[in-house]
Amino acid sequence: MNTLLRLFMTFSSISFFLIIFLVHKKIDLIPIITEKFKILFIIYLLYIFIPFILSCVSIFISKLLSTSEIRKVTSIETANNDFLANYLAFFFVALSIDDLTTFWIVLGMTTLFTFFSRVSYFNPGLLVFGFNFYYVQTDENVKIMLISKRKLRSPDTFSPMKVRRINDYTFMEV
Amino acid sequence: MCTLIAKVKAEYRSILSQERQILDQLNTNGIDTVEFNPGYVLEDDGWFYITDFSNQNFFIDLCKEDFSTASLGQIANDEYDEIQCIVIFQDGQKHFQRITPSRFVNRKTILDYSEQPKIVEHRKQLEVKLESDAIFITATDTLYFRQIARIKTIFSGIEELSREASQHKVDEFLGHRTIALQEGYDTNPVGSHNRKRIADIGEKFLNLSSDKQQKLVDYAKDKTGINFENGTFKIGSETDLKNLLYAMDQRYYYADIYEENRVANSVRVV
Repeated sequence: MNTLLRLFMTFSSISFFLIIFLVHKKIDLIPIITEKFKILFIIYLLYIFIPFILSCVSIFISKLLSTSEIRKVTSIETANNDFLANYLAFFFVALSIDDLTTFWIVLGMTTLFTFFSRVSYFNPGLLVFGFNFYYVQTDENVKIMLISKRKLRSPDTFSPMKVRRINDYTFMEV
Repeated sequence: MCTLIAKVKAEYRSILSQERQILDQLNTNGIDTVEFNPGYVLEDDGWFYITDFSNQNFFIDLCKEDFSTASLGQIANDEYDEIQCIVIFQDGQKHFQRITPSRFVNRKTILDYSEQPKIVEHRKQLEVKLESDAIFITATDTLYFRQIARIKTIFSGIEELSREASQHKVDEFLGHRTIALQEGYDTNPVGSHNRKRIADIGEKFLNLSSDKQQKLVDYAKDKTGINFENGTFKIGSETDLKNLLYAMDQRYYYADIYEENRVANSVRVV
């Protein structure tokens, strides 16, 4: 169950990769719409919505995960910028791939690596929904990634929160 | 919210959390509590307590008020067999239970009559008892428990509180000028209970002034009936030694209304 949820969240976070490739290659997955409206643009608009819909579903399913508590932290670091750089790299890779076989191989490897790494939960879609990404160190000296809508600034003003466990090092406040 | 944690080898692991309580809360007003004293024998419904727990050597991080359960990793399926104890956090109380092999239900064959009766085997289940071995109440910084032996693997060092006297201390006590060991009984086989009594009462006795020691010797001579010759007690058994130690703790008394001579096997200062 938990693995399925994680796999879904991984896919949701790299779905932009797929969309950019589809748009770049002008691939039309639903020709009926294009035939009817004679504009490819509508399909692109649909594509762009997909990652955001997946992000919404991710937020919903994270509420099914088990709860933990963070009561006191000794340091807070924002992680938004770190991940955005990685993400832009994905975009450029998607734009530079020419054939479909290479694309599937690259997509497969990216999915595999992101699934087994903590980056997998950096979903830019969540930024749009108001979530922020932080590295926090708990009072027990464990560094974890925290995804929360709160604006966290200092350990002194940190108030205890209930969080959902995505994996042992990643928690999300929903 | 209620959280269940387990200790696997030296580390704690998170198991689950739920809104519903797992156990009944300990109602400290409804139980008989006694401040911990190694010589005291608890009543059936009694509990020992230790105050100012956070300043004791055997305090563990898990009892900190600000402990974040997010700091713990999730337990893996193959780690359940190695659980040494479970901890339940609920509403300001932290319940500790030692886990012994008998608590694993998968080692039992069970008749399940919840629906159509059937025999169930190999179900991987762990029994959570209704009564915990120790309960820490954060608000009052107090630990409640009944037996030190059951919680010494959880709060390592707590066994120091009911320590047994070392061989050196036993020898020192039994070497006292008023004690002579009979043939066939020497210091090596002194049992665990008497070693604990020596650690507690024996040391108390040795620290008294010689005047007070003499008074206790006279008292013991009078009350215990242990053979006393040439100024020494002839100790020939564990029972003799126990009775002597009881006398040195002034546990023999006369109940004048009932007209009975009595000995108290457990005492506490009131």
